[in-house]
Order: sequence, then structure tokens, then C-alpha cells
Amino acid sequence: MPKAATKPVHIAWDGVKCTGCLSCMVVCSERHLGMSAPSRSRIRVSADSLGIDVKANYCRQCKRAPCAAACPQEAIQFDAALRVWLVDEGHCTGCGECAQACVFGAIWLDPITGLAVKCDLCQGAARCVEICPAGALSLVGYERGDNDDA
Amino acid sequence: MTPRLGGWTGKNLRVDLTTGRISTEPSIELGQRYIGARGVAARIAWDEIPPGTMPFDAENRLIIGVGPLTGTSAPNSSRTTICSLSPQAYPYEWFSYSSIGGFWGPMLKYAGYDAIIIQGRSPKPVYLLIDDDHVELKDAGDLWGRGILETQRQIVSEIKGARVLAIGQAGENLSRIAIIGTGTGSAAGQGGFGAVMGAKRLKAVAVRGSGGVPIAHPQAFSDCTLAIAKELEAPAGCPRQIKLDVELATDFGQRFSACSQQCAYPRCYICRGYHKVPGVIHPEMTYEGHLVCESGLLAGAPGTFYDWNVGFQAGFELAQISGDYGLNHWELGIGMIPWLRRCHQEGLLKDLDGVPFDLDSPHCWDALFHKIVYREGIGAALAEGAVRAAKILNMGEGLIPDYYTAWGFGGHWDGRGDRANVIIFPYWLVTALQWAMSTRDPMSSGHGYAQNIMMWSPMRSPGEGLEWDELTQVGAMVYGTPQAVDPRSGYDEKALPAVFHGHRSVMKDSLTLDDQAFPRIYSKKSPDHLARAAGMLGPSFEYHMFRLATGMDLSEEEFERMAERVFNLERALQVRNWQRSRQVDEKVVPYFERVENWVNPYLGESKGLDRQKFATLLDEYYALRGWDPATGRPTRAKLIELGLKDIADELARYVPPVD
Repeated sequence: MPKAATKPVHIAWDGVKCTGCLSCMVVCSERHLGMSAPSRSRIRVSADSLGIDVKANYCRQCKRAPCAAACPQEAIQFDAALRVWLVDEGHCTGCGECAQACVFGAIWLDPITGLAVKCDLCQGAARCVEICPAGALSLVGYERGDNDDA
Repeated sequence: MTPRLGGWTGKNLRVDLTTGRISTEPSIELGQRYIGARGVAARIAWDEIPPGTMPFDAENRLIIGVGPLTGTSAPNSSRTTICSLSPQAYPYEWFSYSSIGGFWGPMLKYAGYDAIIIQGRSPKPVYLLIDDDHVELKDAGDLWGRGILETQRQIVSEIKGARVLAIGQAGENLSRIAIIGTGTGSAAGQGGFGAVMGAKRLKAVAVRGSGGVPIAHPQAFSDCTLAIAKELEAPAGCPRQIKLDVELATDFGQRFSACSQQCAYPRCYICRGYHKVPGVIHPEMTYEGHLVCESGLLAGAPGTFYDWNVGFQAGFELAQISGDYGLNHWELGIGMIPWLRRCHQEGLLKDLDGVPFDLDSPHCWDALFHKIVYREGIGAALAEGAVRAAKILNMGEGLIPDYYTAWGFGGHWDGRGDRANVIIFPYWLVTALQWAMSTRDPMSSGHGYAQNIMMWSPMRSPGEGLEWDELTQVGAMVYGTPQAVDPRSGYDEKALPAVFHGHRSVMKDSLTLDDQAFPRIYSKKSPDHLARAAGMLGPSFEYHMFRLATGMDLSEEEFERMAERVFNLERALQVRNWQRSRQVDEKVVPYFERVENWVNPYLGESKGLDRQKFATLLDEYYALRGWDPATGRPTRAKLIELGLKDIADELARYVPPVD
């Protein structure tokens, strides 16, 4: 399985603090697409119909990444400088193997382009973490025991 | 090169329930003139609601709108504004507005619509389903008779991921105090618009949107909204934030939630969600939901205005039961129940059709709600709201002015009645002007001035807020004169802030933004205590977000003019359809002549409104507005200046033009 060359950095989510406001999804799409379109965000927070139960899907930037291992095009590569896994859209064919492989449900095919999208930490300044009004998102380096199974 | 447009989606949806016809119309031009939501609704009402139309007429319009900032990263921007003829308003059932938070508004934007204009009356109960471009009226026979929570659950079980606006049994049964609700604890409460949906036999509006809202200047916009979100962030910004209640968190899984989808006030003191609260009235049930502001007061607070005590658990249960029925918590808590209690104390009300009148018993409340919703016994009159019920029952009519400020709505930041919020002379002078010019309780302008000052004042937030002289200096920067905020200023310069916040109210309800968060004026983060973020002044936040989202190239003065245009259009509509005049505005005077609850520390005594001085204040207000002081009507010159010549021309067909 492809292994991160440097210590990855990833988002952490606190389900107790999260209010389900979806600010993270809105800023993610504004940052990446220039539009407020949470359906195309790279982090997914969902609140139930009454807004009580909140869940989140977000990339852990695994040290050994199943999404990268599953990609037949080797389009998912670790960026040693940014310390995150990035999708090379030029090589992605939209086959969806990566989405099948991810145990966190944190990589998927964009509904418009049909290509794989995942968290790139906004190239280093994760906007979702910056805006989170509840302090539910934070940026952490990979620590031992965090995702050893992944 | 054509500049990129953003903010608005580009189309409105029109639904005729009588014919079942569904169509779309362009929306951008309307938005560029009237901002969105409330502003656009005023134009539609002018064009489509002729004088003489009543709330339950098929010809009444229900306009559900969002604005150019709704669903974007603008903080606290998830609100929807619902406008229609108001069944709750009294004695004039005029065109009014009510705003609602939650996830629904952004979803409408993502589905691709800026507003829904609903007209006619369906032959049978239906709900409107909007699934991106697919829009249809669906049978609601199975939903009719169900509560707001159950209706949402049923629809979402079929339409996964949809967000739903719904009415409960109160709306179906045309109660004038019926809300439109979404989620739990979110309501378009004031106005009685739930009954308008009931009259149209429209049970719900479900929406699912997978698209997005273009932003004209995305990078600059997200930098701007991030900076503003940081300034709004609670701990260092706003005083008096209440900490998480640890004990309740253990028992009921308490969590803070957001009345706005993009709420930036996670530590806000007025909104909390609870899980698994055991029922008291119905012990077999457990409840989950939110308590927001007034709904938290159903539990009671012995020795205060809310002089009853059913305990937290039963209070929570009662909030969920009445919310599910679709009853207006504000009307119940601040008006009807205190009025009924007084009637009981004075021997005018013996019991509730045999049920002992005991407000410490949650069962009494439960029975009362049931009577109101199903119009049983005394409930038939109470379903009309307390102001009308007093007449129908010929009971306690003389007590009504103790609880209802004007236009059929209970007190709000007026310094009388409810003592939950401290407000002193001279600040309620501005509130009185806002009431005088409004069609309902002027919450979205009242929070901006009176609540803001008092929350930051040494009276409400000693040691945490600002000192009186600091507040006064900020007031000088915002309103152009220290007299606008100085606690010793009396009647001086109170028209200025009333006009300013009148426009802010239009901006908030049109953009849309939450009225608790904007305008941002005071701050502890800047040396002069005027809020700032990334070089922007706090009171300019709305303008900068609007300009960057929409791409409209306009000055701040021009943006202010857009809000003024809407305010004047609303006034013109009131003049044309309900003969609004200075004499009507002055109906608020007797209420404010009563002595206030509190004492201004600089004056050492409680004050009431001085009729003569208030008349002068009204003169100043009309002059600032460019309205005729004798009639209170917008002058023809003012309407033309605001680009409303067509309005001026038509208005002249109804009333003689004033210069």
C-alpha cells in the first residue's frame, strides 16, 4: 500500500462541539469552486431532518492510503511538502475505486465533473478549520495510534 | 467583459394552487433593485395584492424568499423571510413579514430559486416538492392532521435529504397564531402565516437542492466572510454568553445548535438543543429538540413576568408539543398566557371549560394547547389570538394594553410588560418610533438598537461590556452624533437611529442575515470599541458581503438607498392598501405613555412617553425620511428620487400626492 513520505497532516472533527451548521462545507466549495455548493464540498457534515444528530465524513490523510492503493491510474499521490494525498485530475478516470476503498467515506466522485475529489487542506490553509464557529475542526499531525489500521 | 454575477440564483418559482400551474420567472433584475426576500416580496405585493384583499383570500400571496447571501459563507445567513397578509395583525390585516432559520433557505438556493410566490387555493391538501428543477404538487391527504415534526419525518422518509417548511394542526385550523416551522425550534412565528398556508391547503414545502450559488468575487468574498465571522465570534465579542450547562449535558445530551445554518454564535445564550428528555405529561414519550428564546420560558420563572413553574422537563415538553401543533411561542408566553393569568386573578376567568386554571400544572397547559388548536370551548376564541379573543369573549379587554404593544403583537424591547430584558429611557424612544412605523413587533430593527446598547451596557453586562461614555462615543461614529446613544440625551436625535435601523432591518430580512448578529456595531476588540474586520467597519459588513457576492458595482450609499427604496415601497403599500397615515402611527403612543419598568441611573426615576415631545420626534423622523409630516406619506419627490416613479404614479390614483 502506498505510504506517506512525510508525516501527514489532517483534519480532526469533534462531534460533541459540532453544531451541524455546515459552514465548513460552504467555505470548502467556495474555496475550490468559487461557488457556495455544499453538495460539492470535500468534507461532509450531515444533520438529520430535525437538526439533532450530526455526522461527518472527512479525510484522515492516512499514512498508508487505501484510496491511493485502489487507484488503477496511480492518480492519488502523496505531496511530501503539503503532507496530504492529492488527486491528479489529469489522470483520474472517475472509476470510483478509491471511493470504494476508503473506510471513512471521505473521497468521492464530484457530481458535476465525475472525477474523484478529496480534501487537500486548501493547499495548506484549511478554510473549514479556520471558519468553524464551534471550534469543532482542528488540524493535527499524524500521531501514533491515530489511524494505525488504515 | 461582462462582470461575473453572483448571489442570486436567477429565477423565482410561481405556484398557483388553484390551477396547479407551476412556472419560473427571472429574478436578478428584481434583486438588483430590491436586494431579495423581504424587499422583492414588497414589490410583488405592490404589483399583485390589490386593496381589500384579506389574508385568507385565494388572491393573497405567500412569498417565501431568500437573498443573495443566503446559503453562502456569510455568517448567520441561512434565513428565509416569509411575507404575506398577516392574519395575526390587528386591527389591520396588512402585509407583513416573518423570518425563519434552519437549513431550509440555503436548500432553496441550492435548488436554484430566490423566491417562491404562492397564490390561489388548492382544492385538496397538498404539499409542494421542489427537487432541483423538478417541481410538483403532491397529495397531502395523509399528512393533514399531523404535527410539524411528524410531517417533516414523513416527507423526509420519502424524499431523503429534503428540508421541509410545514404547518401543524394550528395552521390547518386557521389559528391566527399559527406558525410555519422547520426542524425543531425554528419558526416563522409572528404574523400567523401558518394559517395562510392552512387557508391555501398547503401543508408543507419540501426542498432538495444539489446545485450551488455562484459568487462574483469568490476569493475576496471568502476572505471577507472569514474576517467577519472572526469578529462575530462570541467570547471576546459579545458580553454575557452563558456557558454549557454541564448537568443537563449529562442528563439530556445537551448541545448548542444554530438558529441560522451558518450561525457564528455557538455559545449563543438563546438556543440550545436537547436529546432524550423524558416526558412529564406523557411519561411514555421522550422528546428532542431545541429551545430558542421565548420557547425556553414556557417552563416559567416564579416571581417574574413568567410567574409559573412547571419545571425544565415539562417546559421542554410543552415547547415541543406546542411547536409540533404549530402554535406561536411568543404569543403564548409574552401575551396570551400572562393575560389569561391576569383575567383569572381578577376573577374574569374561572377555569378553562372545567379544567382548573393552574399554570404550575403542565396538564393545564397541555389541555389549553389542545383547545386552541382544535378550537374547542374557550379555545375557539383563543385560536384567534388574545387581542381578538378578548373581544369575542368580552373578557379582560381593558387588560390587553398591558401585554400588547401595538398591531396585535406582544411587547418586544419596549421597556414595559415583560421584565426579562432591561431597557431604559431614552432607548425605548427609538423602539417606540420603530413600533410606530412597523406592521408587527419591530424585532429586526429593535434588536439592532435597543438590545445592542443594553446588552453592552454596564446595567446588563457590568464588567463585561462597555461603559456608558464608550457606548456614546461609538454612537457618535455610527449615527453622526453622540446624542443618539448618550444615556442623558432624552429626546434628542432619536429619529436618526430609528431610520438607520429601519434600513438595517430591510437589509437583514432581504440579504438574508440574522437580526441578532447584524448590524455589528460595538466591540471590545478595537481601541475605540467600534467593530472592525479586515479594514471594514462593523456597520459596513452587510454592504461588503453584498457587493462581493453579487458583483454589483455600487457605493455604500447606493446600497443604503436600496434599503431605503424597500422601506418606502413598503410604506407606499401600506398607504395604498390600508390608508397608513401619521394618525395610524400615533396609535402606539398610549402604550408608551405608561411608566417604564426600569430606571435610567442618570435620571433616578422611571419615565413614560411625553406625547408632545414624541410628536416632535415624529416630525423629525418624517423629515429625515422625506415624508410629509402631516400625513406620514412618502412625498412624490422622495419616491421619484428612489427610482419609484411608477409607484408614485399609481399611489396618486388612491391618495392625493404630497410634496
